[in-house]
Amino acid sequence: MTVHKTKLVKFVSTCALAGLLIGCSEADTGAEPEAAMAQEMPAEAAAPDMKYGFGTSVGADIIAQYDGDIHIDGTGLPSGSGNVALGREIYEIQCAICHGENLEGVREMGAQTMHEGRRDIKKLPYAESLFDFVRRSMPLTDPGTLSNDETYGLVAFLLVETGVMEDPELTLDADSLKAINMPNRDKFIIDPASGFTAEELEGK
Amino acid sequence: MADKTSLKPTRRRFIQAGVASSAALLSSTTMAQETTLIPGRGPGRRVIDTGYYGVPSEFAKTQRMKGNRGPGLVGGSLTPLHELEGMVTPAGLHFEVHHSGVPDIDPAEHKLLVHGLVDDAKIFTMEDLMRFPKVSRFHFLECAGNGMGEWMSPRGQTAQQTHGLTSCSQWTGVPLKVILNELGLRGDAKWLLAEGDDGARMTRSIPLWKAMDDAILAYKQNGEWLRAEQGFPLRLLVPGFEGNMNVKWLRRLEVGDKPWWTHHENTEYADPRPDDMIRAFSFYMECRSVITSPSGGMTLDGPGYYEISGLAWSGTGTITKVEVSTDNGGSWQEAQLEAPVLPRCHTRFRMPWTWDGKETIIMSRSTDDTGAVQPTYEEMYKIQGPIGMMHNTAIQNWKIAQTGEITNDRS
Repeated sequence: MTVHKTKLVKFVSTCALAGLLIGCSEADTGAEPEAAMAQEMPAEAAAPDMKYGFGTSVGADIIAQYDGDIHIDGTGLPSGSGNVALGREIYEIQCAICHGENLEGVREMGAQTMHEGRRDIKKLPYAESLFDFVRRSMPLTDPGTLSNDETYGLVAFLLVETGVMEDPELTLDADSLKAINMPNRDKFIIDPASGFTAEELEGK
Repeated sequence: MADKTSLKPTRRRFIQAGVASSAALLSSTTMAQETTLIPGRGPGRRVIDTGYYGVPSEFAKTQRMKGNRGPGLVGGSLTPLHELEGMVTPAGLHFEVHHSGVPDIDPAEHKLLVHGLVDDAKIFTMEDLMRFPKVSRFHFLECAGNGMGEWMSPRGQTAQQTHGLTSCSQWTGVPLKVILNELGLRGDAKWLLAEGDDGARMTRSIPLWKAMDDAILAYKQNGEWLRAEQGFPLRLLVPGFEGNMNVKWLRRLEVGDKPWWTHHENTEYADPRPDDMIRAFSFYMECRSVITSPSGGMTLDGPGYYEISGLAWSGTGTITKVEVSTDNGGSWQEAQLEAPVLPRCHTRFRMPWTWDGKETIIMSRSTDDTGAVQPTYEEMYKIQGPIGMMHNTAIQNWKIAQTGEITNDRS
């Protein structure tokens, strides 16, 4: 990593300033030497509100190149749609090798059943999260290659196969996916140590 | 050229060899072979070239245990806790878990985008990030699934197998709050989404209060660049929180007002509870300890003096006490904590012990400065239900047979 010489000089003077500020604050408060043992963050002591000016401001176009997540209120859901038939077709080609013909999971491939237990589709809190994960991370050996239509179709297929949705010809798009209330949503306990209550985290 | 048949070097030959080796450092590696003319002390003893980056002696066999599932993209490795000393884990022995392979990233190309509920969204190169003020802090990192195989019955034979998904390093990077302050947080900001640059673009929601407390964007581990499997060139460090939240190969942070309920927080690392309930957002890796020596897989060499030694750690604070029982929990003695004793950090404890040669069970129990005490399995079942898998903090028993053989046994 190379640092341009003039940049380095500027950096050194920033450090010197920070050092000066730390020195002052210690003199003023009579801080105990034990503070150093407690792994205090010197940056905070130096200048809690300091702006350094490093990094490059970016607009919506650059952000769009990086950002592809779906929020639980549906923000980020793309245009397009897919039905159960499309989902089943994609599943058989792309997914069944690990997840099994009937979502039962292929142990040797490391996939568990999606009908019960920890990978039970019915137990997921939000359909948005399912869409996000499938599009983001699957298939394992070629993630990020499913189209939006294929992802909508796969989510429709998975929700029908596991009995969350009844219509065998279900078609999903942004609006219809957003309208789904997952049946296990109120079975989630929020660990109080997280600093949040279940009410605070209610998404819809 | 020195005489290769002579084992006894003259002063003149030593000087020649010295010149040759200096030259080798400066020019070519072919000349480095000249240094092998200096014999080791005693007949047959070799000398070796330790290269530009030191590696363990070939006689030192301490290694991680590796495991992989499926097509090799989901897997990890366990730290050999029973063969290590002190509190720091060597970077090459630090445990790791990956869900979509370990990517090979060029730091010159790597960027971090921070956006969402901020005044000024910014993208940072590694060079940008390394110009911000730095902190170096010792912290343990533990997988939420450390010991998940032990829930119902003892299975692992060694401390590596039972507890090897915890490790401890000195991490260096920029405090996350410095970066967030740089961008300016909007009033409704409460959560962050951290996204990795592995194949699966793994994501976790991080509460903003943690980001503004002690979270670090880390790029160095024990003084050197992060190892690839630790997230090179950039990882999030949320001290004391479950390993999965310390997102590796960090490429993006989005500030939001709600958690995202990502796959890894609603399924993979959520905790099943009785009656189909599921506990979510259980961030903390709680107070825990294990005796690493003597421990499972070892054999005591007859009655006599042994030092009992192990590790204690807590994601909620600083270890204040470790008690050791050498009579199956009948009585407890306080072990000595070896400095430094730091918050959210492995703490080494030691206690002298004389084994009388009779069958017994030894165990340790830790307490932290929040008053949390490590539970027994029975106590943990009451809290979590026996169907749990993650966040196993229960007391570990090591059974010592009359033969001195040590096994993982709760009976």
